[in-house]
Amino acid sequence: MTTNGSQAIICEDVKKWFGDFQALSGVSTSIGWGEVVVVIGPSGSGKSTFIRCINRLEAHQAGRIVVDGMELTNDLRNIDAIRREVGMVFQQFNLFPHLTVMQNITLAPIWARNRTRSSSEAAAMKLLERVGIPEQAHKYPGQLSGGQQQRVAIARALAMNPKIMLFDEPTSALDPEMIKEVLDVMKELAESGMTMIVVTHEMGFAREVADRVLFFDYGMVVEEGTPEHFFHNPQHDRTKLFLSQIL
Amino acid sequence: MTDPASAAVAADMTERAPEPPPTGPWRWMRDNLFSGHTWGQIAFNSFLTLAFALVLLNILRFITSYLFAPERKWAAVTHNAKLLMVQAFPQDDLIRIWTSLGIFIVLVVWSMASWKVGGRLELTTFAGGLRSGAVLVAVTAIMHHAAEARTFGIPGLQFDSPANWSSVRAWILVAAVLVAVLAHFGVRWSRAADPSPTIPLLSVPVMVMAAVAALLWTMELPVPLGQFDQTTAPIAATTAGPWTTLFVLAVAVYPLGILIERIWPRAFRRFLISAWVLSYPVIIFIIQRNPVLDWTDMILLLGIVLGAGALRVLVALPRGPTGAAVVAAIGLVIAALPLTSGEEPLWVAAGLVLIGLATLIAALTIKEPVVTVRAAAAGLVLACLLIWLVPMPFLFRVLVTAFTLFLLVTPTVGRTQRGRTYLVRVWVAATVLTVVAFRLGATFVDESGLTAFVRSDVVSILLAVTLGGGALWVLGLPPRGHASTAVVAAIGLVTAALPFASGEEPLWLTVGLVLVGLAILAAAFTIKEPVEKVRASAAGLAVVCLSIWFIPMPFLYRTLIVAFTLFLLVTPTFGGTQRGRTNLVRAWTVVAVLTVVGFRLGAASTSLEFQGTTFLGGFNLTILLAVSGIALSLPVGLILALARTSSMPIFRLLATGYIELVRSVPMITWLFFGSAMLTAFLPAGVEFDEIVRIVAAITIFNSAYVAENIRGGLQAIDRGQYEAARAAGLSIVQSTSLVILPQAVRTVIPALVGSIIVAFKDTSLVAIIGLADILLIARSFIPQQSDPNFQGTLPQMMFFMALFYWIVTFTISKLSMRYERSLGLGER
Ligand SMILES: Nc1ncnc2c1ncn2[C@@H]1O[C@H](COP(=O)(O)OP(=O)(O)O)[C@@H](O)[C@H]1O
Ligand SMILES: [Mg+2]
Repeated sequence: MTTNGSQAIICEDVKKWFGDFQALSGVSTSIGWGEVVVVIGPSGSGKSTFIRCINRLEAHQAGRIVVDGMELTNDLRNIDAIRREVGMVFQQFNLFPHLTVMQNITLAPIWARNRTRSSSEAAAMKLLERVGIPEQAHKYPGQLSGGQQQRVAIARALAMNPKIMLFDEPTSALDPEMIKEVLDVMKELAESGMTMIVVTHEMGFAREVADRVLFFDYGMVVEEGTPEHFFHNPQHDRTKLFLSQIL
Repeated sequence: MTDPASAAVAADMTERAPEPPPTGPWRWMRDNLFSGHTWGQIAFNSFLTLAFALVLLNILRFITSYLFAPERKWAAVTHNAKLLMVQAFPQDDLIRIWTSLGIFIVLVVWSMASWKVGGRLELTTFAGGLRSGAVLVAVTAIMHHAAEARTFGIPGLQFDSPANWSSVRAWILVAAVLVAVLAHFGVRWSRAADPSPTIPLLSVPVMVMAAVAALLWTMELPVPLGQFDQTTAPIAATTAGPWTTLFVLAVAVYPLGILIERIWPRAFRRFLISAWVLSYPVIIFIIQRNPVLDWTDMILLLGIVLGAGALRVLVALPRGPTGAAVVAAIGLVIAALPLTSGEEPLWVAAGLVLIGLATLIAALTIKEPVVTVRAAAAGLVLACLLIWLVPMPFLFRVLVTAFTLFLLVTPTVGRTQRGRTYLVRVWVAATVLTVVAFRLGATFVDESGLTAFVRSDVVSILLAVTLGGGALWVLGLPPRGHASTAVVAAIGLVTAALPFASGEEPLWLTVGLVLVGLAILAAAFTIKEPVEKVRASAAGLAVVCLSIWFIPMPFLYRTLIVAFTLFLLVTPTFGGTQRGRTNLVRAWTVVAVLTVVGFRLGAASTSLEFQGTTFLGGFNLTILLAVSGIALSLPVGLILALARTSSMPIFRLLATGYIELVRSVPMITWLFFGSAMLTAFLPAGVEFDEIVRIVAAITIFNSAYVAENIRGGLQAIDRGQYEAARAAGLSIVQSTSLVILPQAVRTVIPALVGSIIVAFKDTSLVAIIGLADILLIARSFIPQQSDPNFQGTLPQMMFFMALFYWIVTFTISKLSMRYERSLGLGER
């Protein structure tokens, strides 16, 4: 895989408002290639807004975001190019209910990457094996369990061969017994060297897999560091408060 | 899981579902008609049932006595069947109607076989329907007897039945009872073999068709066919043959379709879809055009097939070898034949072959794009010059030039920047040469040619060439994909097309041309991948090719627009990928067919002349208005719905204004608008046939309702769907068309079907503006004007109309219910 720039993602003082409400108030961080970054923080702190800015589902209003060496501007070509390099997995899966699992996965490769149907179906089959559900290929999303659906969503994002993967609370809508099967897939992905940003409340996952943890509050990175630092030696009061509430 | 021991344990653990309660007619009656827990309840419910049954029986008796009264003259319906169906369509040309029906039936049956639709019908349901029908018939027969025996309190109802009525009635009664009994026990027997027996759904219409055909052969109705022709052939005799043929066709095509589907799975689906799209203009062409099956038409069709085949070869072979080039060149030239007028001498065709050959060999054998372009340019220059020295019809010269242009750009454009730059130069040179030759050639044709040449706006032509070249140059710059570049280029290209105009077009035509070019080019250039470009441009092109022939303008000008659109189509799309090339062939085939059909439809100079409304009437007109109105209002409504929900205020404003305006005015007003006022809104000199104007009015009206329905569906779609599609890398257009719209349309199918049914019924309003649809004929022509025998038959005609509309709309809603259910299965 060819990568551009020393860092996968660079954010400099990124700000974002919804009307008068400031959702991001100056986020600066950079994420290296192959790094797994876990983002945690209380609800409404701007975590989703932050990772949605990275593939420009939301447009930031101040600051700079550079992804894979390309700056995010209003230029549509850049945005399309970046979206092809960045895969995203949503809390609500957002699978296309009118298409089969196979069609869900092959839709973007066929239309946005101009692959042939047969080659993208072969690739999709490999991905389904990787996420452990090859036998579900011809079912519709509505016929699958939540955990299976989220694994299909991961396979769908991987089908575009992204260099970076974004996860927005991928396990929050799942029943407890299904969380593990999704986290296992994500672990495997992290081990394979994928650059990942994961918003999650799964502290076990953060401890085990993350290279770095970002703690968000009031639209800012309040604290960041390795999992050891973060869980055992937090500096900031708000971090301590948050950890005491959830652990 | 598959371990037998654990499976057995699992089977032991799962409890069996309780037996369903026994069913059957007696049981059903007890549960539904005479139900109750206490005697009081049972008595009350039984009383209600009996009272209701009595009322029902009396209504039935009334209807029967009405239907079978001797003065009812149902012959007014049967004897005017042709009038109702096709009004005054010439007797000798009825074969066209039958042919159209045949095309339609073949398409329906083949599609059913190919998509494996239809499925199976529960035998119980079918037998139940049969049984109820038979019981109804039997009760009616008995009622009839009763009605005959006694007089009802209704004045004028006398029962002077023919002597053989009782025997006929007896036969009917016996047959009905037999059918009912057979249906009842037949299901029981087959249930013994198979707990839930089914039959193919298709067998029902087949049985109906068989029954109709059989009836037609046995029935004798020796009565004149109606007021417009005095042939006395019985109706059954004239329609028995065609109906039987259609029946045999349907029965034969189905297994054939299944077989084809088995041998080449899915291969013909795309073909069928294009056949459906094409069937509409083709059928209108067949029904509406003046006769003579011209052998040119056959040659044209052959040309299209051969050309498509040759293009396929060209596409499949690696580019380069001379042999392939020769094959392809010959094929391409044959493919050009559809564009000819059919009156050229043989040597012209031969010359064309040679020129095409030279150009193509040059283009294909030399490997580097630049050299190819140079060689092709040389060939082109020669061709363009030579053609104007050869005496041949003026039109043909233009076509040859345009087609040579087409040949030139097809294999060369694409890969390299340099190739594109050269294209621009070649284009400018070719245009200048063509224009000069044009004017030179025109002087030969024109009496006052020299004056015309001197007066000709040389300056504006030069300006146009400069502008066009400049725009193309912008277009050739890297990187491709800018919407703004496309806009600039489109304006320039259209300006560049001006030299081809005769100079007598009104301004609005030029503006329209600019807009069309703009749309196509924007579509072609903003979408990045070659495949989509081809598809988008092909769609745009098809629309242009069809619409142009409905607009009155000089014939030459139409031809040029088509040729130019062709040029637009291939320039940006061909090249890069194998898939792009394959799609080019498909696009080319569709376009060639559309062009030829459009050519023949709109050409004033051919022997085909539009017959307009003269012969269009009856069900023929109803179905034309309904299908056209619905087919057009669906896409228009779709666009309106997207515009109204878009984030761009100007689109939203326009769409909202349109929808609210249209919905606040009654449909009849729109029909008057179409028939009387539309012409006043159009530029001077532009006129459409009345049918076209009415279809426009119907479309205007229906599209607003369709738009609102679809908007409801769009709002029901979660925003996450759009975000997921965009995040996956799909463009805005792709996300909307592949993810949002399919879901939105699915959720509103019931509402859409409602709109379609309303649209179908509302076609009857056209009677107000004087079109003879089936209802007007039934309401006024037959009872008032025709044969004195049928005067005063309005009530029975209305009864028949009610039945008729009911059958059609009920079929539509039944089919849509089945379709919905099959979709529902897919979604879960
Ligand atoms: N589209 C929107 N319009 C208005 N406010 C929004 C929108 N999206 C998010 N917000 C607000 O921005 C804040 C941050 O939201 P979000 O990034 O979703 O938080 P998190 O994911 O950390 O829970 C919240 O207060 C939320 O209400
Ligand atoms: Mg969130």
